[in-house]
Amino acid sequence: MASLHTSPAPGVEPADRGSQQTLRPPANPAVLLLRRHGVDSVPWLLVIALFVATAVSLDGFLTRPSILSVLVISSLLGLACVGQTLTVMLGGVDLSIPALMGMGNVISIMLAQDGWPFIAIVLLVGAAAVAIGTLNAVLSRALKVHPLIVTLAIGSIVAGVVLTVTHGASVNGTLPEWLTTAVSPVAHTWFIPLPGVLVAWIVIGAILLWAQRGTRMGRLLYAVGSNPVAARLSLAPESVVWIGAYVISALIAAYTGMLLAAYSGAPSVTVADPYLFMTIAAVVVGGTSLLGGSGGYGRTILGVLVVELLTTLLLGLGYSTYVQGMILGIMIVLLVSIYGRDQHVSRRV
Amino acid sequence: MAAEERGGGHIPRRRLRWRLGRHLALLCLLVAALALGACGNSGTTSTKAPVSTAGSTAAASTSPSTTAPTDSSASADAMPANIDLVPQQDRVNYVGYRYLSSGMELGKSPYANWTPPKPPWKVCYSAITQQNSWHVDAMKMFVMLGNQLKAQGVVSDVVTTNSDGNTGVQINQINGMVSQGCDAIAAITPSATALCPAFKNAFDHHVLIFSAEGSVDCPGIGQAVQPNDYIDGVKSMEWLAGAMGGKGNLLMLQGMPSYPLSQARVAGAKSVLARYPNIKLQAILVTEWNAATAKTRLLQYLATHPAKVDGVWQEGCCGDITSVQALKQTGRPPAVVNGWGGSAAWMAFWKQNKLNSFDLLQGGPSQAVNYFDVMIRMLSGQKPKVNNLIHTVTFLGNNDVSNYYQGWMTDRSTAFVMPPGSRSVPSSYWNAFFVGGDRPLPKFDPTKFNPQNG
Repeated sequence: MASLHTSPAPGVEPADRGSQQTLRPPANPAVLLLRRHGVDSVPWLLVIALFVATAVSLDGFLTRPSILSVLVISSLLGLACVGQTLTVMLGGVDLSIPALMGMGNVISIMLAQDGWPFIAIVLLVGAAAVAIGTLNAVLSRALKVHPLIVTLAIGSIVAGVVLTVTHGASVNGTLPEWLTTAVSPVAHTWFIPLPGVLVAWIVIGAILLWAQRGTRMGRLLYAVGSNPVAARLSLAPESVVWIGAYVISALIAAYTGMLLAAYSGAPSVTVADPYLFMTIAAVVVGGTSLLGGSGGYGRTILGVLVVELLTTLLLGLGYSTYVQGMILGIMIVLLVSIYGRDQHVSRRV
Repeated sequence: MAAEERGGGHIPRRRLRWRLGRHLALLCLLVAALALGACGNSGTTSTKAPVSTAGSTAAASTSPSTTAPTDSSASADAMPANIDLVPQQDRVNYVGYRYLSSGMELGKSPYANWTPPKPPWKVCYSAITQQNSWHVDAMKMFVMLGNQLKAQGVVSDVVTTNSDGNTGVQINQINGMVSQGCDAIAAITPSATALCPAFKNAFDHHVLIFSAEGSVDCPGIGQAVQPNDYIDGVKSMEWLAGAMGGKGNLLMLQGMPSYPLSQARVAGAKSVLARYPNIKLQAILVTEWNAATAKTRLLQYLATHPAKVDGVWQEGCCGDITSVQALKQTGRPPAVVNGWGGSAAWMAFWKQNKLNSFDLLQGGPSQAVNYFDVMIRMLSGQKPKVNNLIHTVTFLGNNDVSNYYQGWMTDRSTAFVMPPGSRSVPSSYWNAFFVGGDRPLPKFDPTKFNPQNG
């Protein structure tokens, strides 16, 4: 109980970060920002620096289609990161996200091939995702095994089941045209001059930003992630929080997989494999602690933008995929060396 | 303690060092980001080779063909040593061999003097994965053909395994096949050398084993059956260069730069570019043979390169439809794009959008027919003349679309367009590669395979 009251507010650094009045006031605004807001300002500064560097060094980047292209890519990663953020905030992780995305990707096209109405496809994929998310949470809790293992295993099972159901081949369906349009950078969503996937990301992001601080469930997420024992003693419904986080993770992953089917044009259960690394990278770069109890989706949004802007900049400059991966890896190590030295919230008191 | 954690007027030296350290790290990051921004485009390449128009006529070819490129001026096209072991009329299919061989020297077949067991045979198929339709359909075709001969009493059993990408597992599975009495094994190999222990074990037990779809560098015991991906690269780029009018900006999409077959395809394509100095290769993007990665790389490239893209060359999985859609979705004018491998999705997209394109039929099912054909020949007593049996495939142009398109194909299909007779090459192609190659074989019919459902 004590930790619930004495822990810093979610996303807010410990009070000791403000204790720099004995240092000489810096003249540089960036350094001043750092002094005032500590590591919280790092992803902001990175987003700004990378955007400026990309705009300055690459002709044609400051055009509407170019920026929207990067935002569409970011939207898909951002949606895939929703579940990763929630589960990491709990002190867990969800490695079944790529498999869930692959499931949504393949099953939606397979059902479309069989003539299912789109709404029925959405409901069925959603039901399957809810069941898988619940399984992830319940098994982790019941077996007292870290979700790293459970979600990896469940992901493998999901991929295997999808391959078995589809016999691994010969999926010939097609998705509604509007879904393809939704992931097109130059498309509009009704009267909004933005592609549907970006609108979806903005809406879901706004809901999450509000929910993680403005709702009981959001506050419980921080409480359970900060100190599970204290949360249990304060009668917080720990299992409900876990199930809720993993169900949301699975649901959004599966639906993002359907968007990915429209985005990539080739149904495959392995289509989302790159998202395993990318979702964790974005969450870490954003500054949400892998130990749980701090951070939030706002930071993940920044992490997503950093990752996508960095890879876009590097690709634009002609660096190979291998160099991109290397630089992204270096950045993660550096950022973890900055963020990761904070003690877990439960040990700060 | 709490007071210290919360901070007062005093800052411990350790904490101060930490803060300075992390600020330094941040500074390094920002400097790195800005430095990268200031850097030039280090990865862009362009072709500056001497002018030649030798390959431009290939663009006019629109009929199915199994002929190899006629131009062999590039040094990469030099024939391998011991090419005289290959039937003269088929030597042209060994162009670019060094890109296909993975170190496997062309030579006499280790099974030239192999005495096959008497029928019925147990035929076996060792797959490296079943996670995509190419591999699934290849195995299905092999099983279907095996079952046809089983019904005739020629084959006793058809055994298949899938190692799910694990080389150690595949070695154990092959050793298990040898133990359980397989007479012949076709193995999709993950690398040229990884399966050599399993190959040696099978060879020592007088079991026929060969590498399907790629070379295998196991000296003295390696036997392979594979298509010529270098020629595929040459033919596709010859078409593309012609379709671009011999000039313009080109984007290349490569699957896996570390894979020999991917290297062979790109090498073949680049050998053609040497003849087109007015085609500027803007960049080679790596797709990892993943549709989402391909689309993301394309969008990122287009977002940072305003120059017009006139042509996109791609070598399989996902680069075709993705390229057309990425250009359209970013408001760019369309470019000419080649197909690869005969995906039904591209065939449908090609037909629906009345595109100007090209494709080559190298799907899993038709490739598996080659493995089965070669296996049955050797089990029937035919003796291979060479250790690497290479073939070409069927190429399609615009005029072929109406013949190959079928109503069930959609732009999301994962099935494959089947070549004539459902074979990459007619069975008679292999006659000259075997001593006694014209002797009659047990009858099997690959056209019974339904590409729509496998």
